[in-house]
Amino acid sequence: MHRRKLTAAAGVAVAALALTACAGQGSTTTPSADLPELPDGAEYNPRAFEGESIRLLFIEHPFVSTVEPLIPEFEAMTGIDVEIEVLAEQQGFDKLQADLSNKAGNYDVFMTDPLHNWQYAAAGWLEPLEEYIASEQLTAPGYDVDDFAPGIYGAGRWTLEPLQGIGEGSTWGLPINFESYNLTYRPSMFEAAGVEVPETYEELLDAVQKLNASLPADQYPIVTRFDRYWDLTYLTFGSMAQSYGVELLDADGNVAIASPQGVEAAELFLEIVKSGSPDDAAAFTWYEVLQGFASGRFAIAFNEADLFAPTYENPDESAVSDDVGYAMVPAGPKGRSTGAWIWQVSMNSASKHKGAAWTFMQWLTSKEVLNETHKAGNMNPVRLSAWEDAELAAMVDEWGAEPGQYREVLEGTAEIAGIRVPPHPELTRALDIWAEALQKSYFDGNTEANLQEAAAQIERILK
Amino acid sequence: MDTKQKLARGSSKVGFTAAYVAIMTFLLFPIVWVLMMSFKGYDDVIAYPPKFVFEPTLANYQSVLFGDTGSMSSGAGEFVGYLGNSLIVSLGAVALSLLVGVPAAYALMRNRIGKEDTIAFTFLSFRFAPELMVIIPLYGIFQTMGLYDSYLGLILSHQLITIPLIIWIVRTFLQDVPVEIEEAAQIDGCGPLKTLWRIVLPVIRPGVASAAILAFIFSWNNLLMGLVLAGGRTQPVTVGILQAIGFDQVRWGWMAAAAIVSALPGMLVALYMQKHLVKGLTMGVGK
Amino acid sequence: MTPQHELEATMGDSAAAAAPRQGRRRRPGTRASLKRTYTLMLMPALLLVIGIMVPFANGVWTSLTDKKSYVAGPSFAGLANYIDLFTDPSFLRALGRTTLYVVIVLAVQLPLAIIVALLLARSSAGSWITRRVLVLPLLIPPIVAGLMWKTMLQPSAGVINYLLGLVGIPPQPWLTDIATALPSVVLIDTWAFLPFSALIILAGLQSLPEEIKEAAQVDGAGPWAVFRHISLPWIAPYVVLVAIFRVADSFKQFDLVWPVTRGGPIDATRLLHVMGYEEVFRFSSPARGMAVIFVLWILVYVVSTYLLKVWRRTINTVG
Repeated sequence: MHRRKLTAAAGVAVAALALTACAGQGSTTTPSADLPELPDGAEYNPRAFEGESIRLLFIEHPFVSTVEPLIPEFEAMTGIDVEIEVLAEQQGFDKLQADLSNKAGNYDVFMTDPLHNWQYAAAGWLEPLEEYIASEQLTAPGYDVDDFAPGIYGAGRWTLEPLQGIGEGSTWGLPINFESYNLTYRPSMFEAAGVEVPETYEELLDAVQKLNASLPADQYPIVTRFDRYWDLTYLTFGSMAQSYGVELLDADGNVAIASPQGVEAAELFLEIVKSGSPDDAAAFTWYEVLQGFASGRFAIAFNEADLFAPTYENPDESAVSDDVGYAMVPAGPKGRSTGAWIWQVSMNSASKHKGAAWTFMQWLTSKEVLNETHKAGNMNPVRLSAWEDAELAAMVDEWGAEPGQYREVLEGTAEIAGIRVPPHPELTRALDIWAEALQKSYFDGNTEANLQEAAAQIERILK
Repeated sequence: MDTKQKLARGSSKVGFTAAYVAIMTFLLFPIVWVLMMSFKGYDDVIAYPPKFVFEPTLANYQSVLFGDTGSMSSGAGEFVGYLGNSLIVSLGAVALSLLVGVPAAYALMRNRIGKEDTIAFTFLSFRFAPELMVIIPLYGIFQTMGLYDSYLGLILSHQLITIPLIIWIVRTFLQDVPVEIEEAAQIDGCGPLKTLWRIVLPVIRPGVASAAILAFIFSWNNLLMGLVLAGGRTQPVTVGILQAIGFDQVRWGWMAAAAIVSALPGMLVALYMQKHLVKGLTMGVGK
Repeated sequence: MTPQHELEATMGDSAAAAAPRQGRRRRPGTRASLKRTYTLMLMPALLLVIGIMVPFANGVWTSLTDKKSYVAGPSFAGLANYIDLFTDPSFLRALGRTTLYVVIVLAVQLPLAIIVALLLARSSAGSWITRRVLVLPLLIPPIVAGLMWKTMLQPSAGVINYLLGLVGIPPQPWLTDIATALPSVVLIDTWAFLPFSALIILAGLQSLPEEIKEAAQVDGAGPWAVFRHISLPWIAPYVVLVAIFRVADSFKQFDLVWPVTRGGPIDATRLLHVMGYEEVFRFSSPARGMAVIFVLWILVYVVSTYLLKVWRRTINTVG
């Protein structure tokens, strides 16, 4: 009787505590890291988790083949057994979702990106990493977390507040590479048409029209991705919109896509595509862009991924390998801006081998290992010190119309690249709606009306 | 034959030939195109106008069968491993479905308890359920039961695909079997199982063969089960083929070669079973 | 004479004589044991059914909550998701679109499958080759077939328009235009699954005893009459079976749509299963997604129940 009363009282107390804890916080409670028992000694010991095994889920990417040869070194150094599963992007994220939502903990470390991480972090599926980074026992000396490009590293941090707090709060993922956007062009076609590299979007439209006149019937001036999918509004068109000062939300937190600048940017974008791309442009995904440009059908790849460069430059894979130039994205009224797609590695909060998982992650994102992967083809480097490596610099020197052009454009782009979308688990849906409005406008021309309708829909979702 | 009949016969022959050619072109063209793609280098694959004449290369097949250290992350022999996995799972799934399904179909046909159709329909309703509905909870269940990444688990999950096919196709064939044959056997003293095995099965052999081939093919082609419920050890070939889709490239040549390689077992199974597909009821009945 | 009687006549006397014409005589004691055996034969399959019920029920339960992946504890929401869906124009459009897709698929593939099966049942060189070629499209996984067709159907760079251009036909937009996208998916579906339908119907045709057809021809029936009065009724159950399978598969078509068009352009090919997938995997709303999928399941169930009645009727005609 006595014991039961105590238990009951304790139960009520716990419940009361829980209730008050929940009351004012909603989804902004930061889960605490579940650090493993720290190994003895005050220093980093790579063999601290010897004998454990971890499983990784990687998305098919050049990065993966640069890392695989290095895994045996890691295993030898730490005594940790590593198993990797590699899946194509869509399938990989599907499987990851199945695992995370079941809290099965099957994968300890996985490749991910900020957009997905906003959903995962909000759901509590990611292990916050800042304590691991700060621990001298778990992280090798010389890790130098400040060496990461600030904007890119910051994209992995979030306070879990909806629509704000990027760059602050817990660290959810460590970057391993990033992609941003540029203008890739064919110098020979420009010369033939008497066109200079466009500096603004209006100049781009001009260039398209001049190219139209000089190109044969089965070649087109311009290509860009345009499917009704968030990558259009997050990355490629998103970059253009940002240079018009248009982001998904404006400074007051209202949906800004249908503002006068938003409509202006959209209309110019559509005009460029309509004048310079084939009729089926509204169905182009990134691989139509990649293949189309590599096969020589287009003069300009517009606001497209700089990561396509290795393919363009490879004579086995492209018909234009000796005729490619790179330039920064054109400028809009508010200057130049690009989005960025950042690949990260994150840790499963349900992992049963967190110590070993962290050992792997900090090894993977260390200066030495990342540089090895960059040299083997994992682009683009996320650490500021990466370009100090002479080999790496020499490797990309050949890319572009003149030596060093690619690197110059990349460094310039890195300064303006950033993730300028509000963090929110429903962001994918919102971006999709925006993309769909753009596509609809391509077919029916009612840009302003479509954008306004989309804005209203997004407003309902995000608020 | 007079001229009119000759003309009619001639033109109908032309008509039939044209029909066969049309069907074959429709069925074969994409296959031939994929076959060509599997021998093309990347720049030939994306070339426009499309190339029908090109310099063939075995690089894709080499990469699929033996792995390479290029940008494909499949190691040596990995793809062949996937083939083996798919073979085990699909053959196992069909075998289990035959074992379980044929007697069930027979029982449903002969046992007049009045609810056969409902029960049979429930089996069919598996096919109605999009796998998506069950796959995520199934993943959780499999993890708990230790069935994840196991051949047994996959074989069981594939029953969702193979059982409806087997039960219903066999059932449709069963209704063509005259009851009298079975009754003769029963009067001779055979129980239902023996009747099924000795008398009925030989008669419906074409039906069982068709059902088995189709069930095998659908199981082989399935993506979602293998994606979510298989891990590194039991990954099937369909998931393996999609590894051709990288983040920055689609390796069409590799994908084509992988698709051709993974179609081979199905072709062999189909060819082997073809002999059972020929000639029907009269053969068995004449005995 | 009905086919059934024909059969008995051809079969020989022993079996026919042994079976009395009216009713069946069963020794009373064995009825129970017979029943037991039948039930035993049915058991393993039933166990599998129960096995599947569990995750299925889980899915249905999720659809009755307000679960978003990123919120820890979902709460029961009753039919809220369903009400929300049925008042959402994009869902209703997807519903109509999917139904239209199924109707087109049936209208195109059933007659084609019968024709192809008839052609393949003849004994001629053409049918011999085609019969072996028939199974090939089935051996390519639908998702790969979809991707391959997507490249081939590319309006400005694909091989189909190129070949059409060689004979003077202007390039078609195929998958990239709102009006032609869905029919193009039907085209791909037909390529991938016509062999399936034709094979089943062919097997049914081949199980039709030659003697019946010969008898009819001796009686003076021309090929069309033979088809209409003998072949067609005989294969009717097989055709309906094919219809049931195709209805189920078409309603839940995903592999041929998602990698190929992702539901686009705009939402021209956004079928229900695509919508369900997006809700679950892209928008982290499993509750809404499961609701969509459950509606899909009910649709298929209802249509198939009707088709099952048709199947029953076609069997009774035969024997």
